[in-house]
Order: sequence, then C-alpha cells, then structure tokens
Amino acid sequence: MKALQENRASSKHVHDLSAQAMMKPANQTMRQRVRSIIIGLGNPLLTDDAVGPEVARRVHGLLDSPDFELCELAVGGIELMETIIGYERAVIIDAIFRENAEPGTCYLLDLAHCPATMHASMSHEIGLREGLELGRRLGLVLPERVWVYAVTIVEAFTFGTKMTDQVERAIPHIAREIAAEIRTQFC
Amino acid sequence: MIQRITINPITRLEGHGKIEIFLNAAGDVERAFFQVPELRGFETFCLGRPAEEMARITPRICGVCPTAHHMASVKALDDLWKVEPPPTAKKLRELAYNGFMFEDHLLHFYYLGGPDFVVGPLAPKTQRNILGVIDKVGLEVAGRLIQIRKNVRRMLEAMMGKVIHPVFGLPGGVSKGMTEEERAEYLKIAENALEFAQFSLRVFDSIVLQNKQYVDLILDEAYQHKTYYMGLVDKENRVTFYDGDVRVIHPNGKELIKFSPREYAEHIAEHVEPWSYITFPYLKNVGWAGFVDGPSSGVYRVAPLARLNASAGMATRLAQAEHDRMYETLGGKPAHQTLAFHWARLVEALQAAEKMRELLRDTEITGREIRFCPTKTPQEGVGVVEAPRGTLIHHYWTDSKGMLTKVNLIVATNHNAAPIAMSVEKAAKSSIKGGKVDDGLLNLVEMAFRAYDPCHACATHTLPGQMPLEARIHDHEGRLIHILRKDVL
Repeated sequence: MKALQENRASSKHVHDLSAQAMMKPANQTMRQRVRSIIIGLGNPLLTDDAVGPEVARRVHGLLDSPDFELCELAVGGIELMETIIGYERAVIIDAIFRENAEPGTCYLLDLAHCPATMHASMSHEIGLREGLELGRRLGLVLPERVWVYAVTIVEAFTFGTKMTDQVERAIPHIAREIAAEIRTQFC
Repeated sequence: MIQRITINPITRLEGHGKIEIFLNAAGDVERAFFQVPELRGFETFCLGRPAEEMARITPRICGVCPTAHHMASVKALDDLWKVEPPPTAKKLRELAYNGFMFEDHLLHFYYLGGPDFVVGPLAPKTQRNILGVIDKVGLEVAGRLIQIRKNVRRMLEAMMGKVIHPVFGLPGGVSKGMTEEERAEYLKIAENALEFAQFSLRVFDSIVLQNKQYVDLILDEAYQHKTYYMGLVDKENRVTFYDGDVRVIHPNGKELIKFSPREYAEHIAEHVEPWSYITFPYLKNVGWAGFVDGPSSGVYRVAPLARLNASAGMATRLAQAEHDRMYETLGGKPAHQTLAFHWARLVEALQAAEKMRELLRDTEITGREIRFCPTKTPQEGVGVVEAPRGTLIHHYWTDSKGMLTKVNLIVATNHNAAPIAMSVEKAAKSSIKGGKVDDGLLNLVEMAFRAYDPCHACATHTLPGQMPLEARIHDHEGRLIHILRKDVL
C-alpha cells in the first residue's frame, strides 16, 4: 500500500470551479440571501460515521450567520450534486479511513480525489466529480468553489450512536478550525 | 491545523470488494470467493427499543433503499399490532412505493447498467460512466432524467416528509393524506414518468437490442444460471412491489411454492460460510447443495428478472406488452440470463409508472380516513415488500409493551448472495485458463455482479460509480501468485 501523498503547499488543495460560474444560468431560482451551504455527510447510527453531520452542525453554529445554510445528507451521489445547485460556495464534511493516521485528524481534500471519503461518492450513483461535471454539461448553476473536509475515523461498520473517544474528543477543535478557515476564505 | 492532502487513488482502504481465487494444479479456477465489507451489530442495536422506532431506524441501514426498508418495517408493524390500514392509506403507501421503484430503477439503468450497455462493455473504462452514457444518448436525455427524477422525488417528499428518511408510514396507516389539488399535480408527474419509462425502453431497444454484439452478450452462457426464482405476486400471480404473497418457481418455470409473508421461515433457511459475514439463504425443501445451480440446488434468485420469472405476468397493460416482447427475445420464460436483469428493470419501471397513474386516477386516494389506531397487544410481526434489488423481509418480536426482543431482516442482497458468488466464480473461470490471468477479469466480474444491483454494506460507503476491486489469485498450494486491482480514480 502506497503512502498518501501530502500536498500541503499546493494551491490545488481547494479545487477552483470558477469556470463553472461562467455557465449560462439554468431555469432555477437563485437563493437571495443564503450564499453558502455546509453539508454534513454521514449516518448518525454508524458510530464514527456521524462525525460529518456533527461537525457540520457545530461549524454552522459557530458561524452563526444567515449567509450559511446547514444540510445533513446520508448519501452522496447525484443527490449531493443537486443539493449544492444554486449556492455560491459549498463546504462538505465527511468521514475518511486513512492508514497510519491519527483518528480525529481533519484534512482538506483536493476535490480531484474526494471519492476517497466515505460518502462523496457511492456505488449506486455517481461520484461528486462526475456529478459536478454532469451539472456543468447540463448548464446548472453550481458553486464557484467546493471544499471537502474529511475527518479520519476508526469505525463505521458497526451500528451505534456513540462515536469512538478519539474522534469525539477531536470534534470541537475541528469545528473551530473549519469555522475559522471559512471565515477567512468566505468573508 | 488542518492539512491539505491529495489521496493517491490506490490508497483507499475500506469499501473494496475482494475476490480470492484459488487455482487447481492445472492452473484453472477451483473456487472464487467474493467478499465485501458488511455492517455489523444491527440486531443488538435494535433490541430493547420501541418497535415503532423501526420505521425510522431501518431506512438508515441503507441510503439507497430507505423507502423499501420504511415500507417493509411499517408493514411488519401493521402485522405486529394486527391492524389493517384503511384503503386510502394502502393506496397512498402503494403510490409512494411505486414512485420510489420508478426513480430507483431508472437511476440504476442510466448510471450503473447504462455504462455497460449504452456505452458498451468493451469501451474504455474512462468512458464507461454516466458522462459516456450522455455522449451516446444526448444531453437532453440526461436533462429529462434529472427533471423527471426531481419531480417524482418532490412528490415523495411532499407525501413522506423526507425522501431519504421517510416519516410517513405508521402502524395502521400513514401520517398524511392527499388533497385533490395534490392529486391533480401528481397525476401530471405520473404521466411524465410513464412517458419517460417508455422512452427508456426505446433507448434500450435502439442501442442494445439493435446491436448484435450486445444481444449475444446477454444470451452468452457465461452469464446464465438455471436457478429457482422468487418474487411477490398479487392474487392473479402478477408482479407487485408493495403487497402480496411470495411465489417461487422451479428452474423449468413451474410453481414450486407460494406462501404468505408470515410463513417465510418455513421455506427459507440460511447457510453460513466462514469467509463471509453475509448469510446465503436457500429453499428449505430443496436443500443446500453448495454454490451450484439446477433443480437439486436450493439456490434461488430475486430482483427484477427473478420477479418477472416468478410471476404470471405484469399488473399493467403496457408493461405486459414489454414483458411479452422481452421473453420472446430471450427464448421463453423463465429466462436465466443474468444480464437481462437490466431489461427486466426497465419493464418494471414502466409498471411502476403505470401503477402511479392508476392510483392517482382513483379518487379514493384523497379519502380522509388514513389511519386505524392499533389496539391489540403486540407480539410478533412480519412485513415483506419487493425492494428494487429483491424481496425484503422484516420480522420483529416484542414484549407486551412493544419493546423489541428479537429482530430478523433478510435483505435483497442476502437472497442473491449465493447467485452473485456463483456469477463471480463463473466470470473468473472464463478469464483464467491454465494459470494465465486475463486482465479483463475485473471488468467481467463487475458486469456479472452489477446486474443484480447489489447493495453491499448497504452502499453507505465510498464507491465512485463502480466497486473498487481487488482480485488475489492463489496457486494450488495456496501461494499468492497474482493481484489485480481496480481502484478509486
């Protein structure tokens, strides 16, 4: 198994979809005030898989701004693409398994490789990248930028409503970090 | 500090399908095992909870089939409290359920099956996806698909509160009725759905059936298993998704058994293997003979083609005509061609759309009596529906206060687990000869199991439109001699 390639210095870490913003408007109503959406992906009944929705809730609370809408989704695929239609920016928070990584570590992923998270793509539909490309070809108005944050987890195959200690302990810190980064980038 | 990373495609750690292949001394396939990650601990999680919570908990098992779990659960709760919902409630449930079947089947055809057939089984991997499908059928079709799906889901959301996690069915009825205005609006959606289902069958006809290479592939012996078939049928033995009796037919097409959902345990047993968390159901009165087909093996199949095989026909006029055309092409009923599951899926989508229209033309669906409250003491209840991927059984036991003491779920992919293993093994046998491994192995394997539309780990995990796969090939002494991988790209 190859090691993950770290890319801390690269500007590619946040994939710029600005070309998509140049597309012709689709037949849809643009939201007037809410410009950004924060999406927590995960299943709250599958132990650590609840981390995405939980972090998203906290980030939304910390930002405390009507410019941000909160959404929880259990699956990715085309529904994820449809959810971000009409927003200027989207932040997706998901869980990820990563060998030799400390549980509860948060990463900002290169969108080009986001299928490696738990829900950004799925077997029964399409991945986020394919979804964005599909939306672009259809002329849908999609966010200028999509951020995908992923939190390393220990367990997501056993039913339970309690996360593992390491992941649960990391949540407040992760939420503060993401909220701070969003304030810097968005505001 | 949050780090920025690029994930190397081959570092995906979980969610891989794993195939272990063991060769004999001649270098041919002796056995192949197909393993996928499975969710654990569901029964333990449920025990001690109020039974009525199951209709909200079970849709979370699977992000792909939430409505199927919701309906099976609600029907099990009806049975648990021995309460029969009023006719309006039954019609509302059946409408929502057919709407779900319609959109799920079409999604599968265009997004998963489509790349194999519409783009072509031999097309480069980079083109075998929805974008390749669009290139072939045109952008307008994709726009229509997204629009019709959006409309149907809007209807489902209005009826059920949420599409993904419905708050609709209750023991003895439903939580919300329908107004005349809504009925008129939804009827237009149903008519559009019907039109799109017919259009999709024409797409299948022009792109797949008019291509000899594709038809030959469907009819290829490598993709056939002569098994028993199971499916829900109505009183006239026609295909039904929401309610009916379970019918099983012999590989020769004759009825073997027909039983009410509550009797399932008398007819289905589950075989276990040390190499898989999945159980392998089989027909009790035929018996387990291993991973083999034929009349003496209790292995049976569920899902679209199996449902059509197990029925006397379709419940609606247009779907019946398509059913007849399909079997004429396949050489009669039952059809054993695994790849014909894709075709049967489209025939079912048409029935679902016709059924939606039929129910919405019925003014009783706007009746005000939508629930009878349960009054009996609960003890045991069974609910069965046909999920898009096959027969779904929920069975609950409770104490007198309705707290769960035991839970048993047999999901569609369970029923098909043995046939999927057999199909994977057959694909492996066709691409490994004399120790020589064909690089196309994973593609053949993928096509074999994708026809069943399996819901491994209930699809809650990251698989970008195709299952990341790893095939490990061992020689006759158990030594690992070859690894083939197909990863997240």
